[in-house]
Amino acid sequence: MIELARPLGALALIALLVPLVIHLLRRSAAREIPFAALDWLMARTPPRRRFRLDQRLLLALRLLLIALLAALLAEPLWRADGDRETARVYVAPGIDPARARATIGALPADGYWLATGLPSLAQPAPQPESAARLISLIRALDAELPSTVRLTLIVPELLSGLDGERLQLGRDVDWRIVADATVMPATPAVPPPPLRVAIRADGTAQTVARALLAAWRADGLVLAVDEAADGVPVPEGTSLLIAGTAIDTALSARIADGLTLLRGDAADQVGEVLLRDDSGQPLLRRQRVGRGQIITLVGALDPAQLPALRDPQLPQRLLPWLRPALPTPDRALAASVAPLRGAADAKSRAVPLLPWLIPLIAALALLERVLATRSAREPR
Amino acid sequence: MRPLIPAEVRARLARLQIASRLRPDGQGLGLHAGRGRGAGLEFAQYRAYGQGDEPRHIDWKLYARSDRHFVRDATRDTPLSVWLVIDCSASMAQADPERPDHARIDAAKLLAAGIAERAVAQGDSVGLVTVGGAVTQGLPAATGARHRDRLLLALTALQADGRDGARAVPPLLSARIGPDALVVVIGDGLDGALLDAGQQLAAARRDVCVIRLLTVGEARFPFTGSPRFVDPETGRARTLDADAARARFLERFGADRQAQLRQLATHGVRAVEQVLDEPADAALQRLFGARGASR
Repeated sequence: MIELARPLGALALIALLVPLVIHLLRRSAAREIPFAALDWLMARTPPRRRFRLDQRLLLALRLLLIALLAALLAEPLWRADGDRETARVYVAPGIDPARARATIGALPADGYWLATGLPSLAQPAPQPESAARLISLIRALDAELPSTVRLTLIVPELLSGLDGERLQLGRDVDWRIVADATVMPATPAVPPPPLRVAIRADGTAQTVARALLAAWRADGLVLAVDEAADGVPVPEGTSLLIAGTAIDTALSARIADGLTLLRGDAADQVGEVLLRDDSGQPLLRRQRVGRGQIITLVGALDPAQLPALRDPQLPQRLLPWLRPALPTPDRALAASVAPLRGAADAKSRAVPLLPWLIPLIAALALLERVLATRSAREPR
Repeated sequence: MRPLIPAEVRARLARLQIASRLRPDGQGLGLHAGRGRGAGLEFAQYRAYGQGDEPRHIDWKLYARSDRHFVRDATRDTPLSVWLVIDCSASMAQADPERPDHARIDAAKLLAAGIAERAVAQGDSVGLVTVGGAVTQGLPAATGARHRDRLLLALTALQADGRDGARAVPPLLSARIGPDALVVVIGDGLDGALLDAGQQLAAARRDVCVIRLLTVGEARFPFTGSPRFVDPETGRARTLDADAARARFLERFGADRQAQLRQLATHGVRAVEQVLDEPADAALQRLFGARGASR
């Protein structure tokens, strides 16, 4: 069975008119006969305007050549007749097989689990897997199955573990969603790691730091605190340092390595303004250093000198700037991530015919030249 | 240069004798029976001895029987003067599409060369006049191998290039061509003026032969389809259905040809036709061969 990868290429068949026209025109132009006994020729027999074509073999060859060139543009593919249209159903693990069968209903199709090895639906359900793994399996299916196979995918309502790329396939698939499946594992299987805080301050600064930590703890934030005297090195893995000291070289290196430093400095004029107080004056400034940052409260860490510190909302307002970046969202409703039809069609099993077509065209072109020049040598 | 006459034609020409129906009255020794009486091989008459006759010409055996002096006269064999008149109008350049390198003028050159060849071999003098061409050429009648070569050279250079204005025949054709000459007119018969001149020459005691060259297209009209026929002299063109026109053309043209031949015959002109696909010497065999020879 021959298919055309680019059916618009068949429009080139219009060019079949060109050799026809050439043969018609050349015929009428070539016949001129010197004839001195013109007076004895009766003008009463007008010329017949028959569409008679000379050199039919050459014309047929040229037509065939152009038809093959049009086929070359249309990119024919050979597909074995054995690839009958079939349907397959793949069920994401975690969905109850009985519910899946009810969903597929009367579909005359084989059912498989969408899991490693693609086991049959009759086998016990494998462990649920993340959506990224599911999507990887779907892509593999799309690439490997011939395009005549109709795919039905049964997925849970909520998919997690997605990446930013929308799934694109080379065929249209039946994307079915089972509503209340208890599918996806609870996303955070482990409690989030504690925010590791180091305090290198004394006096009122230490008090302020402790007050901040207490406020954050009260909000449910899990903290691991390393409190020491000023000058003690900050342990590895610390993500937030609250300090009142100046920044030395070692500390700069740690900040550039990803540490966030929170400090109070009334004289700080650099960095972008993150927060402003009620009168519009800058309250919180940030200065990026390498992968880390320096967050500066404009003013000494002393509630007496910095009235903003007495604001009970301040710890909550500070927190977003101090915590490391949250994980990117990776959950979506399955209905919103249905696969798109991608540009590349599924044609894995189709054999392109171009390697045979091109030598055939070359041979025919050669033959056409031989015929055309041979008939030109013969007297007409 | 390719020889003008192919070898097999030359072989057939060797058996040919160019002859006139008139008895030439020229000087010198030739192969043709002349009008004059005198020394010769063939007996003509006895006549009475008169003053001035050589005594050795007296037939003494007859004197013994009749006691009178009789002189034995013989027919004097004289040479012939052959004139070639070739039509060089543009219609002579017409060839058949199947054989474009063999035009009427080529066949005419071959016929003329054959006649010249034979005439010189017989000791006759040959002259050439071309009519109807852009330039009228001519060579005076003379004998000898050198003259034959000159004539063949002139024939080779002949071109049928006369356009419609050049149909006129040189008016003093009879002034150039002496009486009792054999005049061979080679043309396509489409020029009435040339044939009229030939008839006038025949009336003025010249033996005139006309060779009419026909192309295969004119003789059998083998064209098919609807070609465009172009007159080479006037440039007029006519596009018509050849299959439908064939029968009518052959009938009309053939009738005109026959009428022309009859009219020429009534004026004492021997006329033959030769189609271009016939052997190159066909017309010569008809005129001077054993069957067509008239002495």
